[in-house]
Amino acid sequence: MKKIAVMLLAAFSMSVAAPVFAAEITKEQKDQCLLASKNCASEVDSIQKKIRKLNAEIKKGTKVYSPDEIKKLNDKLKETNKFLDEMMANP
Amino acid sequence: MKLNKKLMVIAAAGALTAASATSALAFENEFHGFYNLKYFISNYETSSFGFLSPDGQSRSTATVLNPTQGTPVVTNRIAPENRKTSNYFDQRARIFYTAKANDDLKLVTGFELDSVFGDRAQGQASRNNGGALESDATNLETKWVYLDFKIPSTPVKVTAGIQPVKDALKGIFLDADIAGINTVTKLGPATLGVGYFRAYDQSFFSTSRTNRGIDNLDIVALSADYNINKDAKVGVAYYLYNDNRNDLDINTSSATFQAPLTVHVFGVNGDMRLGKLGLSGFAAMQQGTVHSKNSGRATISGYAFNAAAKMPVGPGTLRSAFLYASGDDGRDGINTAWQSVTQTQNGVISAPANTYNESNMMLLNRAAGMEGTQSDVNIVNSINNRNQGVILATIGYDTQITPKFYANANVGVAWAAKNNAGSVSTTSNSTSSTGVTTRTDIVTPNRPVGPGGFNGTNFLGTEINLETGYKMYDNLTAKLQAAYVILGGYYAGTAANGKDPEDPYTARVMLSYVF
Repeated sequence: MKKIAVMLLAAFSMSVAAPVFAAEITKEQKDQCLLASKNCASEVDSIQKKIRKLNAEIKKGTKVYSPDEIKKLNDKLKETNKFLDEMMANP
Repeated sequence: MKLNKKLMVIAAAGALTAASATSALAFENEFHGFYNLKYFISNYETSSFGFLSPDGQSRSTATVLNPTQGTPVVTNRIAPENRKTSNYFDQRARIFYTAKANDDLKLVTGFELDSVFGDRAQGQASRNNGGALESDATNLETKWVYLDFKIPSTPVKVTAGIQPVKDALKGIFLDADIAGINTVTKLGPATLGVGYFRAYDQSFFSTSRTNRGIDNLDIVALSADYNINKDAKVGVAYYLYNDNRNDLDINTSSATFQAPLTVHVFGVNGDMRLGKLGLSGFAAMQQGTVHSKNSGRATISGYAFNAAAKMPVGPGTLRSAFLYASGDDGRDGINTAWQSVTQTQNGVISAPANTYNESNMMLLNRAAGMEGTQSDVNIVNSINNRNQGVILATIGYDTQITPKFYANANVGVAWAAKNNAGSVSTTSNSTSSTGVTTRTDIVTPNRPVGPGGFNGTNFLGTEINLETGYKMYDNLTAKLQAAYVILGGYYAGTAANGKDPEDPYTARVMLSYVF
């Protein structure tokens, strides 16, 4: 019984810790996050990058996305552009 | 018993795993914002808001949705002729955090920090400053806090809280942050909007009212848009401005504030693309009444229309726009001026809550896109233009010279739709129970009032402006903005000793970091 509990908790701990292990740098690799503030685990997209990424995905068209998904991406692009406009041009 | 224990352990571990997995997947955290630093060299601008007045002064008082406002407060009284040049550094940062649970549920928050180098610090500082020695100011402003969600199994999106709201009339009636509940429903090619906003609740100031939600300024917004095809859209909009703050009227013996005041705004608008040519425009009318206990009844009947076009020409885009907002000469009981929303917290008339960004003017009118800091001084600071309205025609050209370097230039010409400046006789036009409207602009004349009013013509002036920008990084752009206004006949002889006031100019060096 105890064994099962220990095993389950160990498995749980591993699953929680896994992302941390994944982000760890091997001996041969340079830590680009420390070195150049790139590829950091907590990196989020700037609004410009988000707009670029959405445009790039929309360009892939129906070869990659269904018409519904294209519409969803277009809606997200509109929403992001609106947010940018409100952010900058709101008095 | 053994089985029960096993089950409990498995259940507990499963719950923990599920909880940890949920928290890992649940939220997308978005941080966006900007930092603008502008160095100004200007003969009229200040790090505040206001009109460039006909007597060559900037005033801190905008015209309000209240046809009988009092005497504007005169600030920055600098000799109108040969004005000294100001120079100052104005900075604004806005930070937005969005906690997104999924595509249909998020909390949006926005914060703002404004200051001018050397202004005030520590205990002397408050909002909009904190740039003096040792800073340490309490100056964080909360701009937006609203929940944005879709009602499950319906096409209805709701935004509830303090949020940005811009009318369907390019902002000339209302463009502001306001608390309320707004819904947007998409039904095929149609989009329906229904919103309720509470701009003020006077019970927070009143001494005689303690019940909440009775003496309010409420705004209701209804809109319907229809996409005819992918290149054409038409829409209708209705706004109700219902200022029911009776106590302000009752408690103000000088009758500078009138309530209840009701204004209905009806508008139609359209957007279309004909090949490379993009067209947009609107037409709108207002009907309203004031039933003041102190100063009687007045009627409001204004209108406005707009048309704009843009198309690619050569290496850039050519833009052109025209706006007409009606004015009033103050000669009868009907105020025919287009009314624009203005801040009136506890009856104190303050900054405008409307814009017209399409003009891309820097000094001629309030185009928020060209501002970006708290400096907000224009000839037409509010489209109502102190009940004179405005006729504004603009043309501009945008071009991307290299991937990192852009330039745009604009020219604008403006007239007051009706001229009421200076020709004020407060005694003969004061509001009474017969319903005569008081003139709103009280300017001390520097020369005798002529048959057409104090000012020679309605022509306000011509602005020429230029903006260039160089992208230092993907997110950081260095910009140069410059504008010069050649004042029109409206200002002729209005400076001291009957001279003409100096033409307004501005030059701004700017750093803009957007993320």
